[in-house]
Amino acid sequence: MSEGIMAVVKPEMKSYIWLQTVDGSIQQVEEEVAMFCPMIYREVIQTGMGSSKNYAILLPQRVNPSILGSILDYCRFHQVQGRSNKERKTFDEKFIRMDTKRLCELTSAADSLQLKPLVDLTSCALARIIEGKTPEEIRETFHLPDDLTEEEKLEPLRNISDDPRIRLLNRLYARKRKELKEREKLKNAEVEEDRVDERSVDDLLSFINSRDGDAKGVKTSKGKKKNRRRKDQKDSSSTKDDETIQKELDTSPSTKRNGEINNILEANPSRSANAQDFSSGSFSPKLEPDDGFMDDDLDPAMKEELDREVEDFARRLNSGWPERMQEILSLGQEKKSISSAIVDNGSSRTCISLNQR
Amino acid sequence: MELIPGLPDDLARECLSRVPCEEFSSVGSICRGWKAEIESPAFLSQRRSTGQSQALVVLAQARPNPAERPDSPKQLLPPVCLLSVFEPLTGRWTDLPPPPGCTNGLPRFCRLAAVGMELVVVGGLDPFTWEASAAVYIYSFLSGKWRRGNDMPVRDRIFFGCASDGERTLFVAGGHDTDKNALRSALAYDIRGDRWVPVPDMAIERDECRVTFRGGEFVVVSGYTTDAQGKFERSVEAFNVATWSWRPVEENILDAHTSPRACVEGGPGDDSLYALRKSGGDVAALRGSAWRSVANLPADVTSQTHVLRWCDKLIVFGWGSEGRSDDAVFVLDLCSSKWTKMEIPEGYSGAVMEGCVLEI
Repeated sequence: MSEGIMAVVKPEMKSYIWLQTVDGSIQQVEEEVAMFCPMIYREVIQTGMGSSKNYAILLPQRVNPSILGSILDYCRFHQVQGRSNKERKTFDEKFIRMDTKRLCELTSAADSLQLKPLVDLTSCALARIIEGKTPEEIRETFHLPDDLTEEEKLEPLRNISDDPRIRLLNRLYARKRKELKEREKLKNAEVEEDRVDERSVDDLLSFINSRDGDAKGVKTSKGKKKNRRRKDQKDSSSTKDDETIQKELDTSPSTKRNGEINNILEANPSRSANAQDFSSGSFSPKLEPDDGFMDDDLDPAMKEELDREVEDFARRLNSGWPERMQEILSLGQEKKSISSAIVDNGSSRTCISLNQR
Repeated sequence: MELIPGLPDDLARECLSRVPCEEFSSVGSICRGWKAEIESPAFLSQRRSTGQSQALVVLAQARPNPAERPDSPKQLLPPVCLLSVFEPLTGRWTDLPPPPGCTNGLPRFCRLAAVGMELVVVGGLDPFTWEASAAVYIYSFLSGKWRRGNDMPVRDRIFFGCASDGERTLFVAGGHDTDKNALRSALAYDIRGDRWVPVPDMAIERDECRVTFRGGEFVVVSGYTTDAQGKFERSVEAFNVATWSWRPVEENILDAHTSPRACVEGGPGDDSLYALRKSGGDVAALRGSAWRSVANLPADVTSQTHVLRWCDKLIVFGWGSEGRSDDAVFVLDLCSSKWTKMEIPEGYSGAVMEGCVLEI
């Protein structure tokens, strides 16, 4: 095509938008993908730019070619109508898996292109990174100076973030909180809702796995995980109306002992007996990922204690909700793989005890 | 120095504002920039306006005295007043430790108010001496620490109404003195400046009144005079902060049998006053000068000890039909008018004496 001529758009051909990044390089992008960015959309509509190489739209300085590639991948996926919420969430979770520096660049670039959904996604991801790290790690990741005196530093975390399980629990609480908020908003949404829940914990687990650099852990425990998760998911997603959701929440961790988890609130000294029984946060089996994952990080003593906790909790759960347990058990029977998941794993004791009741 | 190198500050703020409140102390210990950011009022207002804030319910409950030994039933010690934090969204309960030195809990029947990221505890009966306490305790959710504020100038006041404007002022009105004389006086406490400021007297004495903050005014609801013990007034009096004066008393506002403890203000943007009306068996909202029924009051909620507004819901603490052993939390969704009952976990049961909601 000769350069001086505006591209002629034939009906059967796709139309393209020409974009130029700050380093001078120019590329053409499918129209519907590029127009997903409000800034590009506005340029095209208001000034007519972008229809040929000579009239390429000049992108903001914060958008370099590599980042642009990522952004366009995002747009390419999301601009397709008819994708389910679950699909979008799955894509998003995978999409943001990149190093912190790149995440920052992406946030910045998305903001300059006025692509708010992506800015929300990346800033949430960055917040999650901050949430999961100790102050020292945060300083390292974001290249921040350690310029506060000891007195100026606020109440230091009491070894809490050193324990990966408590960090995990905090993350799960935050995620649960968010999910509940979203669920409230989408109360009358499509049936897909159920499956959204399933995926989110799925990805949360593999996300956490990959973040902790334990790829091996993912592979080995994946089989066992899937089944426990599916069982757990049926629990949390089978209820849609308020009442049962609340009931479900009620059996959330015997939260008296969660004093330690909330690192701002110190454990009440008069409850120290209980706090000591229990070296870390208690778990709700609903929120807790498969013990198989935990095994990689714990020593046998902790594992045993965890198992005891889970068993104890399961017992309490059983005594309160016979009908619910029947439901879970019948699902467990359908998914034959649960029995095959019972291998030489601490969680097997738990699985068996649940099944026997 | 940028908040996050490589990111414009407004975007860095977006990220920081999405961090859960449990991480505040961590974020504030990173570096000067982050500490300044998290302590700035803009941080909190951004969290609130973008819906990132968490609404925590702080409760003062009457709990079994830890010194009470279960093996000696004759030794019945009065319950102690302890604080808990309840997150209705997740159903999570946690303990909030009392101030250092308060080994016997907080003053009984103290009042609570939320200002920014801080909880203010004022008044009540000293847990040791049972005398009226003038102490002011302030807990910062940012630092996880307690501090003392300046005592109330006049020590002799209990069962007063108390509310805050959420920004910097705490308002105290009514109550009674040690001779059970109902009080007409009122006080204001400036939290930032840590000082008490006198306020003109009310038109009538109001013992056991309730104070709410609506539309820039502290509205004192009901209460009773010295001569009419227990006979709650149906009037309200509003104190306008801008003019620093009381508006004339509005008579005949409440229903005949509504106690001020069953009243609670609406949220931001909602200027109504809500009341649980036993006589009508409903929950009603007062907008302007007319009451309108907004929901039924289920028979289940037979006795209520405290009502709070949380997000767009009303939370009622009390006990259900089974009596005192069945204490539970009842949540009314004001949009759908539906009630939900939430159980209180073991270890957290105890009559709710006071409560407030912190949005951080």
